[in-house]
Amino acid sequence: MSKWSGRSKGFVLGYHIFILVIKKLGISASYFLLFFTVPFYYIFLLNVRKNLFDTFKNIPNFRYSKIPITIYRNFFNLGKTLIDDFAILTKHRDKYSYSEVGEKYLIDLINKSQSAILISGHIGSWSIAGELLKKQDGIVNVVMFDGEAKKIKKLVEKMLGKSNYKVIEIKDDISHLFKIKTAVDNGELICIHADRYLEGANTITAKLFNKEVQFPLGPFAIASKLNIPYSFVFAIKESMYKYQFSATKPQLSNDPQIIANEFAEVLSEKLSKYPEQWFNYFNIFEKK
Amino acid sequence: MNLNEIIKITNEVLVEEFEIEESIIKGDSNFRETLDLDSLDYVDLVVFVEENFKVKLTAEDFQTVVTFDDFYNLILKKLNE
Repeated sequence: MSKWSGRSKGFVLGYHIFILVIKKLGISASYFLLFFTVPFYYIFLLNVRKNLFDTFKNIPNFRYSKIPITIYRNFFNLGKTLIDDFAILTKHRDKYSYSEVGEKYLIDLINKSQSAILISGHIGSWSIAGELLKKQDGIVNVVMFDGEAKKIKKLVEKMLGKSNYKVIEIKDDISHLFKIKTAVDNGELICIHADRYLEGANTITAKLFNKEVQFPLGPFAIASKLNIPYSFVFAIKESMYKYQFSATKPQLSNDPQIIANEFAEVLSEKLSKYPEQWFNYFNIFEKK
Repeated sequence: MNLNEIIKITNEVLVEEFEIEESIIKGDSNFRETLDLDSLDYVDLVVFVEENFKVKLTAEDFQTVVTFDDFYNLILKKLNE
């Protein structure tokens, strides 16, 4: 897996423009803007294209000839997903619907004020998943790497006036671990991505399509050390206004390796089924 | 609970949890270096303290911990709060 600097792509100005277009002109107009912006990213983000190529060629039975068009669609889907992330916080919210698999498990956790670690990856829309949880009145904490994400969250709050989640920022002083512990003690949900890590972080090996891949140890270790249930949660875009929300049955384990193996299995399935919504732009198969 | 009891319970757990010889635990030894703590080990420490002493530790608490004595005294202080 590629080493990650902890900063996300995208410019705050770009988000500004998109939020304004969504608010003033609507979702379709925002999607239309992508016809101009996506080619720009497709041409200039060579490294991202290379990483996606290296990732997709490891998917069994995935034809090489399909990879370039899949990458282009992937860029397009990223744009659409980002627009949806903002649009669902606006008056356009009612246009969106979702099908679900396993939502009852999370509702049950929330009703019991039972904390849990919701483990996901950079596939589909994490924000949409959080928004769907919001209607259940659960308090959701999203563990994020970078200050950039915080900036974008602040911008969204400033322009749209609301936010559905709390951010726990990962810092060198390990204060995030204590914040996670506090959230667990309060019976809140903790959402965390487990498909990439910062350089120097502890990792754990699990098999993705029968190939050994490094995953960040943290999410799996926290679930096992704090002895709280974990569930693998994803929200995949099915059509223009429809998402599929999925959550696996919450499990307990005191062995991070077991959790990592299960996560890798679920992630393999998602990646092979939805490569066009795989937004982890770092080569997950690269040796550490 | 007095300081000696805290030291006894803490050392027993540290020996088992971090697989170290008790003889290397000395009051004035560097806590982090001796135990070779990484960030996730702090989760274990917080859970251990909570389960055994029923007190909660924060990130700020650990900023004052340099030696094992500091750690024992931190627990004692928390117990007396």
